[in-house]
Amino acid sequence: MRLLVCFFVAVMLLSIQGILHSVGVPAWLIPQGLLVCVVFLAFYEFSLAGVVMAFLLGLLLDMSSGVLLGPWAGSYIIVYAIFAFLSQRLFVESVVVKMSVVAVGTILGGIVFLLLAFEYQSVSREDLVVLCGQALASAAVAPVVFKVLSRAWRRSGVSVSGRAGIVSAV
Amino acid sequence: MRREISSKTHVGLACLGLFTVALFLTAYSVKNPALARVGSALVLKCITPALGAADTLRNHASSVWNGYINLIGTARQNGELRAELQALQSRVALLGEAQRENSRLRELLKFSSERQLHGVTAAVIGGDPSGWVKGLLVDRGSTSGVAPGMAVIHPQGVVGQVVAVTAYSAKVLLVSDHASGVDVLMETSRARGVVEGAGERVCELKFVTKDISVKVGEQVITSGMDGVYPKGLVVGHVAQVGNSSVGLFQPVEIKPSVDFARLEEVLLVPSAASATGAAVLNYPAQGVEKGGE
Repeated sequence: MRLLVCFFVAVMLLSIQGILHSVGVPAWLIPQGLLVCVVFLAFYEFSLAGVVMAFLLGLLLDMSSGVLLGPWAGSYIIVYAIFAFLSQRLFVESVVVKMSVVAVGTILGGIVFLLLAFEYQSVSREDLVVLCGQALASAAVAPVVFKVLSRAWRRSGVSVSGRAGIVSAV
Repeated sequence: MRREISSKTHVGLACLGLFTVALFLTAYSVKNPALARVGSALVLKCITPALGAADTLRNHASSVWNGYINLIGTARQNGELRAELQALQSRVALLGEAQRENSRLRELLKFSSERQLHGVTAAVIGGDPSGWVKGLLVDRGSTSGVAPGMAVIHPQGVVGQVVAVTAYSAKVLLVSDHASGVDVLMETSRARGVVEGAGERVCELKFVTKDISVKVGEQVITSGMDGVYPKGLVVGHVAQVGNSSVGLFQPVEIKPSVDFARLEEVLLVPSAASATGAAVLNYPAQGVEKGGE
């Protein structure tokens, strides 16, 4: 159930991203909502379901772009894997930590994406600026997304405090 | 502990596996872009309602905002346009008035050139302030060459005679005034007489003997014998013929051809009498200024 909620939230965030694009908000100001969800999953859904969900969210983003299928999925898997294994040693209760983790995750995800899509897409300085901007924007929305998803996790009886990764995985 | 390690292994393996799938998908979709497009259509279908709703909301908000801004602008613009409209309306009225005046002056000019009358055109600027004398004030005086005794005429007919002149205005005694007199001819019978004022819009034709047949509607024209009015100008027409048993002359009522109440421009024509004053008038010339003589 909570994963369904997560998927629904992800679709909503994707729609918001689309709306922001359509109203002419610059790309570097648009947060990567799906990546925030993936980071949340890495910390609070350490399980096979979490991996699959991260992959699906990446695939969702890939499909929404309609150009390449796979790079974002791969990128999100990497982000998930890194943060999932880090989650056992990292507390994300503090807002600053949440934001920092999401910012790092966004940059990491972007780099992995650029590496995977390297054959298709050349990298320019502008891409890096966009990536940094998106990292900050994602960090800004991270507390809100975390709060929304935490509520769904709590409702399904999963603790989202302390070392969430260990607790939720079991 | 073992369970935890097992979970980590599963997650790690899953990550590895799915990353491999992602790599494979990426490589495959680079060669077959159609694959990416298939999924894209599906996702678009999912997010289109949200985008559509947001777009509608945005358009609505935009229209409300623009409407509000426009409303402020419209109020100001409305005021400006009203002021402009008012200015234009008064300008149109002025132009219309100028056009009508132009038309009347053309008529007057045509009339004077047809009759070979050389005079001064003047605008009527008022009536007699006392109300006892049927007269007009015109805006030309001695500086324009106006002199007492000049005939005042209009394309419709005879108006009267200048009786007093200042530098920039002149007083005209209408033919309908009791003190006025015009030597006239009956158009058909050619009988002579004198038209004198008898009321507001009525004159009396005097000295027409009873043996002369006078018909109602017959025109009365100036004879030119009084030395004031040129010959052949219409004075009016016979409105009524009385049958008095006493006296030599028959009473004839004349209706002046000019509507004195609607006169706006007149032509002041010099006459033989203008140099010496009102020749055939009982009315004494007054207010004659130096320049007017």
